[in-house]
Amino acid sequence: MINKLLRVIKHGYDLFSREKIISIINIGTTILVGLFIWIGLLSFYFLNELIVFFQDRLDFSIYFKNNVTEENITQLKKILENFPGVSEVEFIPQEIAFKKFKEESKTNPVIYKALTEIQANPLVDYLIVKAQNSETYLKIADYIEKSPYNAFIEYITYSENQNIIKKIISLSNQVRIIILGILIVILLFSSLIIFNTVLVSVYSQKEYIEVLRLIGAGNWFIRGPFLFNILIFSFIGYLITLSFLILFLIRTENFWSIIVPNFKPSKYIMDNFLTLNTLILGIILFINIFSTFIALQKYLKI
Amino acid sequence: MLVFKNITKIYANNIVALDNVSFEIESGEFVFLIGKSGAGKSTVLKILRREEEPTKGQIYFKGKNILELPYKRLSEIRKKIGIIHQDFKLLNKKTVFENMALPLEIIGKSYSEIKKEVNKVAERLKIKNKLNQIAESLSGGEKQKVCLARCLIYKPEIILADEPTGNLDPIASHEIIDVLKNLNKEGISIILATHNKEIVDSLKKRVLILESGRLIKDENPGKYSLL
Repeated sequence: MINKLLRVIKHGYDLFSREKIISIINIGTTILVGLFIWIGLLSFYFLNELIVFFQDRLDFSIYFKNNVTEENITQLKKILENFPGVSEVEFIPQEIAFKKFKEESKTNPVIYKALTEIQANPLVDYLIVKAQNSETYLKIADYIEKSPYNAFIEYITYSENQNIIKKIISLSNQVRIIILGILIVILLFSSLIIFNTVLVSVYSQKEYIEVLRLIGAGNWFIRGPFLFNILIFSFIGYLITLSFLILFLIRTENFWSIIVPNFKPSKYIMDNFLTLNTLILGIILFINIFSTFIALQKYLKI
Repeated sequence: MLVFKNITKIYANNIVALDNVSFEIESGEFVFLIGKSGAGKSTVLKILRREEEPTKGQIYFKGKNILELPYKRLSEIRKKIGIIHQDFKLLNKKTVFENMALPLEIIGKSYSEIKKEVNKVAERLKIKNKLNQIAESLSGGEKQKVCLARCLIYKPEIILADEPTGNLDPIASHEIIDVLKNLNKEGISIILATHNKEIVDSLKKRVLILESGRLIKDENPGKYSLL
């Protein structure tokens, strides 16, 4: 059994080393398909981060009436903190709000002078809510409107941002569907490229398969070298793709952070190194192996 | 030993390649299968190794119907019934040694066993000095000898030769026929498909004549002939 396995490996290596042009084409295809999948995946990540970036810029603040006690505000804060999809709720008392506003207005002498001259605090207590996605803001607004806390509330900035939030929700859903569609097209396109390359490489070995069949080789002895050959060129091709990609992303890191500050592709790859690479290499290997099985089937029936 | 019984082979578009062909080959027999191009000689040989399935009929090898063998076990039959072709079917980019070693690699023999067996067969066919040569660089006669050697590695009981001298000059042809004769003397049955009348006449062996897919004559059929 071990002897047989060693022979299969040897024949697989022979296929790779003796058929140089076919091997170069196979490596080239793997690089191309690897890049396609990576570009698709990183685009998905980029647009996701872009949407998050815009969401973070959204202001969802709840401003309370003057007579509302801190206890009531804390109660609502606790409810919102436990609300599904809410990542952070911050309470800003009116004194802090005033201090903050004064600080921010230092650059504007007119407002700053007015603020220092004023006797009473014109600002109110408020809560800043941060959610994981825009849909949550809609749900919170809806909840507050129907809850008894609505009586304590002066206004919610959501009303001002409602249109933007709705647009972002719709845009992010559309973008996700488009990217998913693009990913599926990329996968189909990649499968076609690989399938054709495999078909050509199996066809170029028609004589070899015929000879093996002629001398009584079983199906697995014929498939084996092709599968080992796939392992060799897929690993080499993928390694080249990954090196090229990482090098490119490191060199362009500053450029990406200008466009979207939280888009850090090289960090994203490093943080998910094992998962992403297993997934992509797995996809490439699967398409290659599946194509080889189909391409060989015709010759195995002899 | 080998019974080819009522075999009919019809290809697509109703092309009849073999029409109810029957014959029997005894152990150690040398049989010529002759006929014009398209008479069905190659089809008989392909069906004997189940490289093609007949439309009708049975084939018994040592009492077993080989048409009932599952695909997975076909290699067993192909090891016992070896074949050589007019176009050699060698791996041209590999050495003679690698070509001859292939059958033993398939069955998982160790390198030392392979080396021993290959050397033995190469010596028997007088091609030991060619073992490290690339198959591509050999002459036609030498290539055919390598094919025979590869066939002999499995110690076959029958060798099917499909126009083995078709691509060879007269000297190389006689050399190959001599090798086949010697193998036959050692007890291996030979079925040789050819349309080289000179070779057939010189050997005076049993002759099966095919014409348009029908066996029209079995000269010197022997006691087990079905005709």
